[in-house]
Amino acid sequence: MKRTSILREIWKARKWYLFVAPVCILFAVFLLYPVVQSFRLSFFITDLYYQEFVGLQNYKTILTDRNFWLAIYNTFYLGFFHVLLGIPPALLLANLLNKKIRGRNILRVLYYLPHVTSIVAVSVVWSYLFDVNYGPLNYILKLVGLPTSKWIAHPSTSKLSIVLMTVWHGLGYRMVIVLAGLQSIPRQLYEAAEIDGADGRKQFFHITLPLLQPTIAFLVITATIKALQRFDEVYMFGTELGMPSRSLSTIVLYLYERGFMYNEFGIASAAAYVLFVIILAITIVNLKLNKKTQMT
Amino acid sequence: MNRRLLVFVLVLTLGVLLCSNVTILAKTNLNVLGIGMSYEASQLLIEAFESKHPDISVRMDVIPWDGYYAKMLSNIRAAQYDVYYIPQLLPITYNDAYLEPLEKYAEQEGPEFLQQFFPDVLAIGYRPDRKGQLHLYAIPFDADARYVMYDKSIFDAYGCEYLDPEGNYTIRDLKELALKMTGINPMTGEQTYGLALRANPMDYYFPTFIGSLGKDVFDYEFGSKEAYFESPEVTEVLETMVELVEAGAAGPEVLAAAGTPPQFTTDINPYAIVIGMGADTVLPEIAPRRDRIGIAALPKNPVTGKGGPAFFHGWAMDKRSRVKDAAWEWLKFGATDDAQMIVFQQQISGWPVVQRWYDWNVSHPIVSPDKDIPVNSIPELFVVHEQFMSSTPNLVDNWVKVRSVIREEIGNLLALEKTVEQVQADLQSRVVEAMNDPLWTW
Repeated sequence: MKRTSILREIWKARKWYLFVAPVCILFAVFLLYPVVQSFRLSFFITDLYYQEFVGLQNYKTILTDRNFWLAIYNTFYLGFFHVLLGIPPALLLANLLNKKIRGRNILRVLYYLPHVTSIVAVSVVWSYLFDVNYGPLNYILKLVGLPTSKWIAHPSTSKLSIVLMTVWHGLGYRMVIVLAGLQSIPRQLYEAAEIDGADGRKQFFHITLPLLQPTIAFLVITATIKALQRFDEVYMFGTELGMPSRSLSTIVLYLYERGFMYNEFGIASAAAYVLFVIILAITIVNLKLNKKTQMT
Repeated sequence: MNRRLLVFVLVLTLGVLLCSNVTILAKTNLNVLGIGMSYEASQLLIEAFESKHPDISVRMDVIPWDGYYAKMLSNIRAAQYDVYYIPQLLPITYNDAYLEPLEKYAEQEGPEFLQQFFPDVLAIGYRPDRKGQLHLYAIPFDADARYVMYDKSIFDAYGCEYLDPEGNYTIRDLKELALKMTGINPMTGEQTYGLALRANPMDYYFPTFIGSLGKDVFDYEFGSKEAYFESPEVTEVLETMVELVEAGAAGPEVLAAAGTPPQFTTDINPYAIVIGMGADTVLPEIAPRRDRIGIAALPKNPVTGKGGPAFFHGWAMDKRSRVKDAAWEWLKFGATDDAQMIVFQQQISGWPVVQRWYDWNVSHPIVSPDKDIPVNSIPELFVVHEQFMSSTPNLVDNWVKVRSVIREEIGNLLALEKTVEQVQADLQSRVVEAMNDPLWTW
């Protein structure tokens, strides 16, 4: 009886279901099915032609694989320093460009420009900048009497070189987000602070920074997600092995290597699910922290 | 009047459409997947083929070399094409599952059909199926090799003898030369480095270096799962590499992912010896700088007489193709003089694979655009030919994984992050593990 009434309701609203059907079908075909299928594959040794059920062996393989943990370490290293070194310059720049200075709009466009450039093209250009022998970066260091660096050519400096490039590439984007956050802070607060005798530094630390907290939290979350998906630039510099010495191998690169270089789709699927658990854990921590911040 | 005109136009249009469709319907459509070749080269091939086979219409899509491996496998899995241009490194299951064994087709053409190819290059076209049986899965189309290149001006400045173009030298000779030519160039006062070692293409050269001491690290037999990385010869080669890095002879960018230093062909080149570069650079980049740049075959194993590997690209037929006869015509066409001439003159991704090529009198857009010259009179091609005639068989099984292990471990050594003993032990265990991977060996 109940079932019949549900069906009747659906039939009544059929045209609305028809409207949402394309999205549902696309979601099922391109998202739901791959998610379920890759979960199934994670229990098989397979190259998509040959398949053999192996239970949890693929999970054991990756959790005992030194290269997997190295990829996790590299991913978090790149993510942490990207956030740490990426947000302060954006704050500074956005503050400067929020002031009434000449050519402010042109400067905003100029700083935003790198972000619209493809990261692949950016990587190619930066590979010339990083050249140990003839790169302009080492030339400038030499010119001012500083020791030169091996940049991407050595595992000890390669990760920070990538951070430097990605900080530059995303600076404009972060600046625009912070700028939007700054412009949403009511002017009256600054006027009141000025009347109370607060100088610029005090205004920044007691008004700007606290009120920018949601913006900064947004930047941290998006940067963390981006860090976990890092692929293009590390692939461009370090090939699928994240060279030199796997110092640029990230989780997604590891997935690519196992799945598309060695055709080990079972292992790649298992790694994807481990990555899913990591992202889930980070998201839960993030949500809890956000809740706490909101409550305080 | 107007209506009549309209009817006439409609009838005419219908007639034209019908005629053109009849022509299309009468033709067999052949879908081909190429890699890395220029639009011009692909069109030349199609035109030459279609002029001989007016009943076949060819549609060729070309994917770039960048990231080709994953793209190629996806296309093969999906049966997108009748014919694929494939390098040798296809997973074994794919041969069995998706590619047509070609022995019966080749037999129909008579024994001379396969005899026309360089034997070591043709050998790479044979791959095992899942039961370990060898089949011919691809007909050679072009092939490439790796070479040693050296800057004659740096050799002259330090008073060193040039390398033997036939590859009769060892890693010990390379080390001695590299150490001697590292320092301040006595003629120009500029810093020079003896040997540009790179971890990235080391999977190609490392076995060759060891071979130059008379010992191979693989059996080079199908089905073999043995590797010999614990020999004293391997220790010597690894120690040589460390010594060159510590002496600064390998240059400052020893761990860069890119293979050949881009400055090698420029006037500011600091490297005396460089290993690498493909067919696309030998005539366009090296031949015009013959006065300054020399080229030699990779060092040979003095016991077996085999040197560096040759790289094979061939045409393979999809097992699921509905136009196999047309596909075979394309595969066969690839070995004709017409197609091989296009390979040579358009520099597709390598050199011709038919042995008669070396005796041709032919023009070349860079070396001799206006008149025919004997191919064997071009010094750079002497080295190419030498490599083809004496190439070490490629890592027959487990190619991709074994290559990655070698690259990674040599990278660790060159970064001085692991000792020689550690690298040697890890190479042995990890390479054997990769060779026994069930996805790559049956």
